[in-house]
Amino acid sequence: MIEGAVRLNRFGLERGRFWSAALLALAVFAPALLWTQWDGAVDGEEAVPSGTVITLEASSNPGAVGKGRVWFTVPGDGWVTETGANRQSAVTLVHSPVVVRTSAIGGVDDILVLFERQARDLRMGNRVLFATGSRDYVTPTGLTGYWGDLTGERYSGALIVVGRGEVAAVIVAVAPLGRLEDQLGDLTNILATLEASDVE
Amino acid sequence: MSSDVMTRVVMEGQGTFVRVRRPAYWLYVGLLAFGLLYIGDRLSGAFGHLAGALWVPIVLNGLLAALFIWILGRMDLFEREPAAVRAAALLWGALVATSFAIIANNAMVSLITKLYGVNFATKWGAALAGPINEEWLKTLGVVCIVLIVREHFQRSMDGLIYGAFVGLGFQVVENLTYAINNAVSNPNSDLAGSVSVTLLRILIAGPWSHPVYSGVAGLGIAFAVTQTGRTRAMRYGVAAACFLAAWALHFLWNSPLPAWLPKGLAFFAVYGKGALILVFFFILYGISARREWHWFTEIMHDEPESVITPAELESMRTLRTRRLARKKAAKDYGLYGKRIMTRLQRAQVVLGEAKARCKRADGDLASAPDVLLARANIVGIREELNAPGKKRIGLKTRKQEGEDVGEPPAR
Repeated sequence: MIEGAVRLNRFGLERGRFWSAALLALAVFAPALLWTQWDGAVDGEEAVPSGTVITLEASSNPGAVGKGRVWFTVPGDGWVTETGANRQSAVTLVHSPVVVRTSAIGGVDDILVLFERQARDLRMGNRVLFATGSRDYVTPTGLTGYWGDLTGERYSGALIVVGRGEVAAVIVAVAPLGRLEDQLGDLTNILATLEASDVE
Repeated sequence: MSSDVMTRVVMEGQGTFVRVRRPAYWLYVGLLAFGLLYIGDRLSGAFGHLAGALWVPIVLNGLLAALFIWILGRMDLFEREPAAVRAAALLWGALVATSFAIIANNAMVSLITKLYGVNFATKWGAALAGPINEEWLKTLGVVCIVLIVREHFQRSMDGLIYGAFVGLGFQVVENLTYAINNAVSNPNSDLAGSVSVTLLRILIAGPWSHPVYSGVAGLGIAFAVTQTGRTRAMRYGVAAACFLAAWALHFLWNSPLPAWLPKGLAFFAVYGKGALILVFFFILYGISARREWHWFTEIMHDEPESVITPAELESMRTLRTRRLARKKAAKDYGLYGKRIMTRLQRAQVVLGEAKARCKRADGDLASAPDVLLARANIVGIREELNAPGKKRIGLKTRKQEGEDVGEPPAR
């Protein structure tokens, strides 16, 4: 317990201490403001030419250290990517109105478990999507796994989890309700070139 | 209307941290509320789905926090920082610094990816975003505490302790967010993801992580505000140097190992980086502790031998020398003597604090009540220690001593 006399300003706060607090507030907000504004000012959209081969390194989660690669060819023109959201293990491609996010995951024990976990994550996400009608799926390149239809309040899409060995590719394609069917060709073209390898 | 007319003067008594008349206090409260909502929002959703996988990380991080709190409680040898202020520092790190750092780091990594590509961002994103945003936000926690309760900063060591508490709060919440992220992203199991990353972070980064970096930066802030006898350039220069050092330590830890390094040496390289960080920290701590010791000898040098003898003064230097003094008391007087010596050492520290407080307030050391009380307490303890027959008690076994205490006196 301390006791002392303090001089107050008109707001009932100690005199001469407002500006230091204001500067501190500014300093706390500064990094978030600086980076979000700068990030927003830089155009991260980049066109991806048809025929570009995209290779993803399988992420090495500490609990699942398997490695490998996933790759596919961008089908046709009109695809762009949001470079800021891309990682070595994941890429987001947009062919308006369809958004396709492809991830490479290593150390997979069971594709079905991974499919169910991915479906759960989509249910937990900001844009709630439910995977329904899941079924076995084999890509034209021979990767085996599962396909589920995604349904949400305003969006629909598809969740495809396929792999080879310990490496899996997870593809989440999302479009406004009823719009994916028109663009399904793009998705099947991606799947037609999708390959995975657990050799580093 | 002149500004003098607008001035009101009030007399107030407040707790160790609550300062309702200071704008910085309300800023702290507001930022804490924001952090609570932000971090709460991120964690509560995950807890709903992952509760089964998170109890292990929560327990492990709780143990880590308890261990650090125990260590930090012993690092300042001549003062025990108030629990409320330590808690405030911990909460700043846990809620304010983490929430703003998440927003800033995400945006910065996104920007780096846009500007320099995925490969560069993967390699250097964490090494750049982590130190730049996190060290800044954690250091501001110490600044905020200075603005609220400047009176709790007497020497540089105080800043080191409060900074370390800010870092500890940050580390625990960061570990939990990693546990959640890895529980979700593990392809096979929530539990495997959360436990593996928690163990990795505690075993590999635990000893030389955020408490160390923030402790270094906090030491600089405290140096700047307490060493008022030095030039401004010196004070702010040291504060800036300490902040840069904290930044560099964090950068060193987050930076990737060189590609040419053989995989077999990676383990040693990682621990080598950690050892470097710890060595730097302990050098700074050693310098600071030596200054604390000089301060203590200076403030106690005029005390009579009934309060502190030259040998006792020397024995107060480090935890080790204090332990040796207690061991000696145990040897001479038994367990009773050891307990009395522990009380004596604590009472001498209390006297040092009371004298310092009195000096800061330009009070009279000869009549200040808390100084007189602390002195009388020491004299009383010494009388207990030197009372006739203590040798006899000291020779008794613990059991005999217990029997003496437990049995009612014979009528």
